[in-house]
Amino acid sequence: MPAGAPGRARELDDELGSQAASIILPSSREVLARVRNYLLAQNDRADGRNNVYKDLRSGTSGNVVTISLGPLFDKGPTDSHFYLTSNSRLSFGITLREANGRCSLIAYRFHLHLPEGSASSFYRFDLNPRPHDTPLREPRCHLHPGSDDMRLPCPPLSPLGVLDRIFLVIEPTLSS
Amino acid sequence: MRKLNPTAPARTAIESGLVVEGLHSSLYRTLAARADLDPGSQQLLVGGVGSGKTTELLLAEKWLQEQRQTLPLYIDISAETDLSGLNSGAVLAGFGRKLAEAFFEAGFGESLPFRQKIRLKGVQQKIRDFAFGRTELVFVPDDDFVPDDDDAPPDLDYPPDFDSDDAQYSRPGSFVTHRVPGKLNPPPFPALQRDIEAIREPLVSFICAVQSRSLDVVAILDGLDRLITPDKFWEIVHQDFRVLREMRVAVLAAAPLSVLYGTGRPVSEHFDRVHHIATLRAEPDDNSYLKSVLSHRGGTDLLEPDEVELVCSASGGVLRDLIALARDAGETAYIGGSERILSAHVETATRQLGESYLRGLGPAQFVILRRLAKERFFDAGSPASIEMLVTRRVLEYSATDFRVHPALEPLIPKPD
Amino acid sequence: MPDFIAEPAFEIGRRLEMRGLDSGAWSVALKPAQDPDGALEDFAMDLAAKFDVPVRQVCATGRPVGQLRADLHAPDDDTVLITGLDRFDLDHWRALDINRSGLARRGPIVLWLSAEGLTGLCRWAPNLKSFIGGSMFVVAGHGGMMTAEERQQRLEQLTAHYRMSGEEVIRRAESGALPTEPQFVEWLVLLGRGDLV
Repeated sequence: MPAGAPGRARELDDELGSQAASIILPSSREVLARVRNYLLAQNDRADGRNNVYKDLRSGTSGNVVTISLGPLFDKGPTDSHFYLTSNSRLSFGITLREANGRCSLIAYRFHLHLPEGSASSFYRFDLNPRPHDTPLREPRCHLHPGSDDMRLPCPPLSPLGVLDRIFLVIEPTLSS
Repeated sequence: MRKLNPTAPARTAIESGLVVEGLHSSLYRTLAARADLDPGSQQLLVGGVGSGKTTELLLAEKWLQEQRQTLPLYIDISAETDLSGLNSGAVLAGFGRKLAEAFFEAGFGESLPFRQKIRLKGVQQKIRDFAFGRTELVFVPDDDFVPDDDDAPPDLDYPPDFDSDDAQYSRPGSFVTHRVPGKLNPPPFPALQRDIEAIREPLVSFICAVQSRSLDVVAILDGLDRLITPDKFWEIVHQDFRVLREMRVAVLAAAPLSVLYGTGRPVSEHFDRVHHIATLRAEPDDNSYLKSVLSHRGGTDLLEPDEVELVCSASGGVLRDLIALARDAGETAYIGGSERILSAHVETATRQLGESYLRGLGPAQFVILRRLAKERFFDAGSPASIEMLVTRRVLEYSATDFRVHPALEPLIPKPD
Repeated sequence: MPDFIAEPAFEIGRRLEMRGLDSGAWSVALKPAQDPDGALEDFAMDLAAKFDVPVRQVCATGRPVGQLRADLHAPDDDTVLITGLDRFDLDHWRALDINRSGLARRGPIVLWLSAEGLTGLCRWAPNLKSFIGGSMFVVAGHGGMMTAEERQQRLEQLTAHYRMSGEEVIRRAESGALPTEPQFVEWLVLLGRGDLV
């Protein structure tokens, strides 16, 4: 292993952690409403095949709130996934801490399973709740480009920021 | 589904082609033809809330415009002013304002000699002042002033018509602004016969100018049916309507349903005709008009035939309820993720409507409703019964055929 | 308790959107008996989030009809939530009712009412009630909350996937040895142990 690689990874991981901490979101109700509205708008483009109202769920324990859609693990298509026009399917979970009408990000996972024949079988955007012991292999915030074992660091994004990359960057390359 | 808007302005609905014109046996033609042929006639249009009165009045206006024999003026008094503070002269104020506006908008002023045009502009201002009030400067002398020959005249702000020779201004005092309220502005102005006389001449000026073009004026007055009680209605309109009749302005006016019953009947005797928009039939073998209303608004594209029948029945023939039920059933289906509107969705919408009619009822009203539902007995003259009619808990299909609104009937509690 | 449909704010907002936010629709939102002030703020916020624009609140208490009319027309195309109607007596309701045309506008109007206020409306304001029709909804808690059954299903998925019990997850969280995958914090929330996150 090249000298300094772990150190560089740790420095980057600290930076990713700071960036995650700097993302301040509105109240959990408003985050939920905005995610819902975003998906509804995308659902209209997908010919309304998804039932966002039924599938988007929220949970709470103390001041920690989860917002989720679809299964926790993608093991195949289900009715509760969000299906895009390309036939990709999306499931996600977002965990927030709420205080004084504002939220901070604790963790998220956005799993986009791509249609048959795609160069990659899935992309998954993960934000871990805390750093890993080996940030070189598992950065705090990372993208899985089609492999559970490969994690490439990527900047933490707001939930709508991740959805923008899924719907506006990845999906257009699949639909064309 | 947006065409199924039960509260869309009637004018918009007519212009969008959403209205079935022959719905009430073309009542609007009867109204308009009488007004056209008989200047100075006065007709009332009564019907329950949501029965389509405004639509008929607007169709009458449209018909009269097409005949080109009259200058029809549709005025919704309730949109002009606070009806709850309405007083004698307010109807004339609203009418006068509209008359003057319509006169100049039609370009009638262009062909007048310049002096006459300016005079009419001045008359228009008088009408505006009558309607909305005016501000005037009033000289208020100091009460404790003792005149002294050596006193110089006070330094004052002078009104435009100030005459320095006028003796009243030789004492100290000041001009204060004084607001004279108008008929269309709160607070209510006391009803004075003299007050109405003040507007007569300005109105006559415009009416004569219109008549010189071989046109008669027809006043189509909406909103007065909201006054609910016949005595309130009469208190407000009788002086104004008398003046309009004297000026040979035909009147078509919406009036409260209560003028047909009990103590309201004497009011209706002051009018040449009282037209009643009865509730439309809603039985499956007699609901073609209701279906045509739904069809015009795309309702029959959204609903299957069975659901159309259910909606028609549940509405009891009340047009606004018919449109709302179709819309609400569609919303319930969509929110529930259903691809079609099913009977269950219509039933949900019907229950919602029924609950809304149930609220606010007490034991005395339940007695009336149960008796009507079971025995077909209904004393239309009693105040409590009239209230049931006005609030659409009871629907009138003819002078002798009254029924409990079908959405409400299943929800009436059983007697203890 | 009224037997009207219970809907969260976003579903009431959905209905208004379906009707068209320029359709001048009227509806009633029946407030919960508990914490009505908090419920009002939540309702207004959820409705605003649905439309992505603020919802204007107009309090009718002590406001002459003419002033209320002016308020509703400045502007006339936003969504307005009218409060302060519960103490209205016959005269107040009649005044509103008589002036229904003057109150009509392009944007939707939602009346925020208690059960008592609704009784007044239905008793004394037949013209307004006709405009509202069956559009009367009990405001339910904000929609989308996971049900107990859904929670249980997800707990079972987690247990099966990681071959770990909920108690083990809690022990590991307490000792700071919980894996870093995002699913584990969701697991703690499902177990009602957000304090360990």
